[in-house]
Amino acid sequence: MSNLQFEQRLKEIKVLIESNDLSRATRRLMDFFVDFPAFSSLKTSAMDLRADYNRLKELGEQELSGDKKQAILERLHQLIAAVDEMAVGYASDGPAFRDASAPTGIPVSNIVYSGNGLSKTFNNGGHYFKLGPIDFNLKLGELTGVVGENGNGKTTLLKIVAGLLNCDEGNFAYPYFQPDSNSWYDIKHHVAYIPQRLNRWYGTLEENLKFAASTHGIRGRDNSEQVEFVIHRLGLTNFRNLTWGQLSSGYKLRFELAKMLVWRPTLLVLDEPLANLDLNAQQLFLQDLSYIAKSQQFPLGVILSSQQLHEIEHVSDNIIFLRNGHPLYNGMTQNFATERKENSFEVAGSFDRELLMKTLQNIEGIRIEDSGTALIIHTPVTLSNDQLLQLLLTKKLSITYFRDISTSTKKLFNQEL
Amino acid sequence: MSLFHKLSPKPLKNLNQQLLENSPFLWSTRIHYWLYFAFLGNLLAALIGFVYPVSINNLPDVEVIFGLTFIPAIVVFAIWVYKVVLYSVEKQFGKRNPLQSLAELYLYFVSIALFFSFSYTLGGVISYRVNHLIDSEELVQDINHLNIGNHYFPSYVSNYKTYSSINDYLDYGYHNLIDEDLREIKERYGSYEDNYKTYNTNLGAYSPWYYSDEEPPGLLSQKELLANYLKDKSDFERMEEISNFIAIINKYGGRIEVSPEQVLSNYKRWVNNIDLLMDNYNLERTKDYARDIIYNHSRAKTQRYFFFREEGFFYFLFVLTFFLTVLLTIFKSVNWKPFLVAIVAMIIVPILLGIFDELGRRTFGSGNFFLGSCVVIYLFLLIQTLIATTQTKYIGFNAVCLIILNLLTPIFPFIVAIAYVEITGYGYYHYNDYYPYHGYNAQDIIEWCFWGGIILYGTLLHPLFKRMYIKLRSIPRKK
Repeated sequence: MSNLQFEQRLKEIKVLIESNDLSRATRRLMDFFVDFPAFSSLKTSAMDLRADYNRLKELGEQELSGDKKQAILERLHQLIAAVDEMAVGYASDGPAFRDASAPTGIPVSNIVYSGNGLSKTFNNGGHYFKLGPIDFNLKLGELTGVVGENGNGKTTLLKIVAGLLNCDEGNFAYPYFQPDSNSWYDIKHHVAYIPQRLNRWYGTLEENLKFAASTHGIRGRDNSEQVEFVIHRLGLTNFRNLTWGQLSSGYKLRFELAKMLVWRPTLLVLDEPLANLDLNAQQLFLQDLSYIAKSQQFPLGVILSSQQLHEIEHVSDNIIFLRNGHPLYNGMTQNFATERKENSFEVAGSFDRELLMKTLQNIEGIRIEDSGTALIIHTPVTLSNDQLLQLLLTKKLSITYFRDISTSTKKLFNQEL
Repeated sequence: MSLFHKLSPKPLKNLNQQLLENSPFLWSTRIHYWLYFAFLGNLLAALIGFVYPVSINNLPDVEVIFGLTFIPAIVVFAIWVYKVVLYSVEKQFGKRNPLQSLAELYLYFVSIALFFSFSYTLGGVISYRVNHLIDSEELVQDINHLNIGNHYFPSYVSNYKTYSSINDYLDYGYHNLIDEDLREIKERYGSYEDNYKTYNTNLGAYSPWYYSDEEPPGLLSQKELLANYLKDKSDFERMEEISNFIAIINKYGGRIEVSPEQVLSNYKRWVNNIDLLMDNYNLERTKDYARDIIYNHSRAKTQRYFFFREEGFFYFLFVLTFFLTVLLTIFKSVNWKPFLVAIVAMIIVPILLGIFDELGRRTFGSGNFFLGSCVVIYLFLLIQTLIATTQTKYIGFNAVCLIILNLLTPIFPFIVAIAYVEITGYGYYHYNDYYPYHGYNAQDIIEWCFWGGIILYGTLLHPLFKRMYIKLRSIPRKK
């Protein structure tokens, strides 16, 4: 970790404070103290601040207001000032700014899971389904989204990665931690799996977190500190003494995430985590997931499946798009459709396909599809989203929805095989 | 806050937190809570024992003592099992210590054994109180009076027979004395010819110490009772014996309301004519009641009122506790489906084998099918489990085989010993030989194998099974 990263992270928090985003500011400040252990003397203060923020925030309230907000802001400023003051005392290239988790001398693979030619066949009552073959790597600090329609093998793929299902063909490895042992028990000691249907748990939330941490070797004072950290970090401060039946489905999922993160797994597998969350909760969850996966001190490899394509694409480094078990796309999110032959746009409004076709008839090579809820306009790559939108507005079409899906795997949903 | 938490003192809660944060395995066994609540439970049982109404003529039966403690203990046991299976280090793929599985076995064994402690505490306190209700001397005196006077109160005709002389009575009607005593009695009373008199053949019916080999001082022996019975007595002496009997039966809760004169008058008639005797169930009931009470008094004096000195019962409790412990450790290690299938199989298969065994016995005259099948099944399960160790995917059938193998393993040496002894006849007594053929008797061999199997399992084999469960749980499934 360099001085530059330190500066960037601190700046990010300062910007969040200035924009009054206290929720993110308090969370990122906690993450900051984890990633820069030299400043860990301030970690407890950051945790207390976040805990107070959680306590002050009423259920359903997006942000604090009035005096409460001022008090939190003031404490945030004080903490940032304390960091600045401490940073002055460290040399700019000194150990305070280096990644404490990086091993010295021994090269360690950052690939947590590697699958080559993985395939799995089901033949139930005449219904034949084959997943794969599929090749992919999951790396520390990266999020991989598995998308596709229902029944296309997303859960099967995730279960294979989590070691819950065996594959019929192909090779796989957990290079980051497998060198220690080949036993599945030891492998699963490092892998966290959150199923779509959460299993019921018993006792209080805090009790379960402490048990999860201590079973994974986080004992004594570390245990209580780590549990406190995760509880406050994930906004569970007010729910620590609640039981399964007393939590909403959103907080149940948040608890599951906390239960996994508390013991710092190396690979996190989540099956449809967004299915039962409202829009705000989805955003918050994905945001946290991204921050946590990309932690400098304890990075995670994350693979998750979802139907929320745009949200997943927004946070994922890699995308695997499955249809009928085959990966239609399997690679980095940013590389999707870089060499495309046409642009695609979703549009909706008070017009139909014919009217739109008539409006755009002068553009060469245009195609329009009806996806059911929106019309998809395929244009030559030379026509940008700005140009198309301007054209439609010029023609006085009333537009209620417009999205450029040229570089989104959403295009694949309507693509015929 | 639950009652569970309200009843827990702060130091216990602190200990709970300490264990949760430092020793998840110990915490998950709930041994700390259970020791505390078992202590409270025993305290409560002792309290009930102190306030439970007992008097000379009203003592609770063993079944009542068991009922008072065992039914609540079963409820608490169910709650305890529920709490214990909730958390498992292995199910979370947490860090394990190789000795953990043995520690788990022993801790659960102690925990389950504690469920039986409530009955013993209650039984012990009641037994102590009963022991002090009446002096030993007084109780012995009462038993002697009852034994002496009992024959005046015939309630079962079958206990009385007519003999032509005392000699005949002594030769045919009385067999509990050794030859020497019988000779002495005959010398003293045998010359007397009473010409077809009705004799009681059930003397000493109220001497419960018979069963304990600890006859207290002063208790009249069979010989003394017989001598007294055969002695010529005046009406006054007989009246006194009858009055004593009535008073003591009534003292211990029986109810005899007839006058001594009437009893004597009846006695004089039926002693010379057995046909006048009739079964009297009311009288038998009231005598039985008093006899049971006296029996319990005397058991309390020899620490036998409850199961304190019953070796067989201790063995039964030990074996029951051991297998409940094994079942619990298995249940914690596997999914409920293979566990249920294995338990059902363990019930059905022996029944089927028993039926085939009986059929074989009737058809071919051979009776070793059951034991032979058990050995064959065990070997099949063993091979299946060894194959399963090399497999890379989870198969439910293997889990079921492993569970059954696990349950059979502690008693496998026992089964083999029975089969071996049955088939070879090794260690059986010859009908005219005091010593067995081969130096050891079959009973001892079977017993050694039984305890050997349990000890072997409890020290070496249990961790191996635990390893297998852990492996089975972690490997990926086929579907």
